[in-house]
Amino acid sequence: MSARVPGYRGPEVPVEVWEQHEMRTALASREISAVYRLLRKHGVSQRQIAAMTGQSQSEVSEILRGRQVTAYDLLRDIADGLGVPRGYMGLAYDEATAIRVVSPFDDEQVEDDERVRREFLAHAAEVTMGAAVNGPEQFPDDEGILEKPQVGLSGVSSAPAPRRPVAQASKQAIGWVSRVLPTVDRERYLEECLGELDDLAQSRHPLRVQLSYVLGLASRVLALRFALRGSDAETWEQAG
Amino acid sequence: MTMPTLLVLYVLIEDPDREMYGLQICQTAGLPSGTIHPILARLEKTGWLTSRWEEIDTREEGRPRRRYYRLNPNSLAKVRAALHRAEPAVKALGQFRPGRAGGVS
Repeated sequence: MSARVPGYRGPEVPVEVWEQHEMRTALASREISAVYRLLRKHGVSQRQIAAMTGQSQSEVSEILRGRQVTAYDLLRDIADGLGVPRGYMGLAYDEATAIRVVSPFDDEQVEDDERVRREFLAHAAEVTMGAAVNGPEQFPDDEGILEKPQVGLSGVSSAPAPRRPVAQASKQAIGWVSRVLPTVDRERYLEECLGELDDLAQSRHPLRVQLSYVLGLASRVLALRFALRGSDAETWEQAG
Repeated sequence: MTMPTLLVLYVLIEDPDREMYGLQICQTAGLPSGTIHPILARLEKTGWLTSRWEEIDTREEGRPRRRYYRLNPNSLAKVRAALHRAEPAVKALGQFRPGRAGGVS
């Protein structure tokens, strides 16, 4: 995957190729194997495909022989590398905010749960212990952080993309954390925080930002409890 | 008043009529994700802030409703005064140099 030459776009695939019915069908169902075969038909060599997508030639040839591509990151790299509009593959790109993941296919959701759990825990370890448990490539740019606040986006939603669900693990964590809060306030903060998590789930690195959020919340939940109970708010304020 | 609280007030006072939700304030203030609610809660208890649920049809919008915060119009003078009082401290902060381990506290 690292063979990709920065800035290299390879031979431009004529736009009309992406518009053909067969191609659109293959893209929509994310049959990368079929996509590559169609490209070959249009005279694009394996080597050229590899150069465009940043894959190795052997990977391309495996895919041509039928290997399935399901990993979101790879699909995204392939779409971007080939210059396919992301929407054609159900990978929407929203410039106003961040990259949103649109997953019209249920099977991805199934795969998601297990993976989410694993990555979430791995990243938790990374954050809390300062060690890259799963290798640094798992969470590439820790600076990407929080995408711009999605202010006034309600107007954009005329053709709403399906929203990515909040990771189960985040929900659970928020549930635990909220137990520290006074009972009367618990529901409100659960709703408020889950709403914010839902926002974060739409970001480019949903797991990472959700995790930072949950950790941040957990680290301040006692302060929140004090603030809500009010009685010792003053002394707490002094202590900061 | 703590520095994070100041930052939150700075964000809100910029446009006192504007409503913002927690995540948005947090990001604008540059505070660590998820750490803003105690500050908001405290300010609300003090009466400087008010909050309300966003009135949307969540089904139609396809997202949960947000909790919106804004400065209490009746407290603007107090908030301004507090920020004014804090100014020297904020300025002094700009003069800190990285020092020995253990720092300046």
